[in-house]
Amino acid sequence: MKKLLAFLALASVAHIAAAADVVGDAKAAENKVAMCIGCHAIPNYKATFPEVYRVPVIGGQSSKYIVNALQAYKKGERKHPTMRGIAASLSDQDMADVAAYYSQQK
Amino acid sequence: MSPLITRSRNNGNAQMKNFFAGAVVLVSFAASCNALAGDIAAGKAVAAKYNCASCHGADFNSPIDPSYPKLAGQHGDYLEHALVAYKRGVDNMNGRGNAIMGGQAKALSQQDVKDVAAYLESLPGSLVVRR
Repeated sequence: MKKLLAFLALASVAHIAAAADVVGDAKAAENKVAMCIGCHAIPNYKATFPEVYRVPVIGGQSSKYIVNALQAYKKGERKHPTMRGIAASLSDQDMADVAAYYSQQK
Repeated sequence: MSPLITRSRNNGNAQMKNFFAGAVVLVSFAASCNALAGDIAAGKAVAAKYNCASCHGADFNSPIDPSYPKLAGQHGDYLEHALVAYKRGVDNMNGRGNAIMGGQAKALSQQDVKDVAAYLESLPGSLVVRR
């Protein structure tokens, strides 16, 4: 009986760990934002291809939305070529870290 | 008066006419550009008509779910691009596919897009550009 309970307890812990979302670490993102800052850290920086407009302000945006947007570029639900290339190079952990980094900005 | 001088004076008149014609074209072009720019008040009405606040928040800075973006103070030309991309859909170049925004954006006219983008950009928000 004890063994069964211990097994169940372990199983539930493992289940929780597997179900939890990847947790973003803003500190870890400091080595990952090099590709972002070339455009998103410059006030009023304009994308020039394939259309001209100021790139979005992302500081202070929620981390969930940032991850969603990056995943959409990676999956091809958003077709912007530059962002597709960048998002494709990011792992789930990279995206979570970068999102944590930008969402905490004030 | 020598024929040479007469000709050059005639040329001068023709140039003057061309200049004025050009100026008229330029002025009317500028006026039509103005008509195409976003109108904040009209954009507020568009946002109300299409219930944008029901997801993006009453102040457009506090969405009802963190998976939706804050829009207040976002660059208007980017918002315009995003809406046009949703209108195009996922199968077209530089388009976007999204179940909710696809339906919302397709209902908007080109002028609606410009107006609502101008309105959202004019709102105070917490988005910042930082390194």
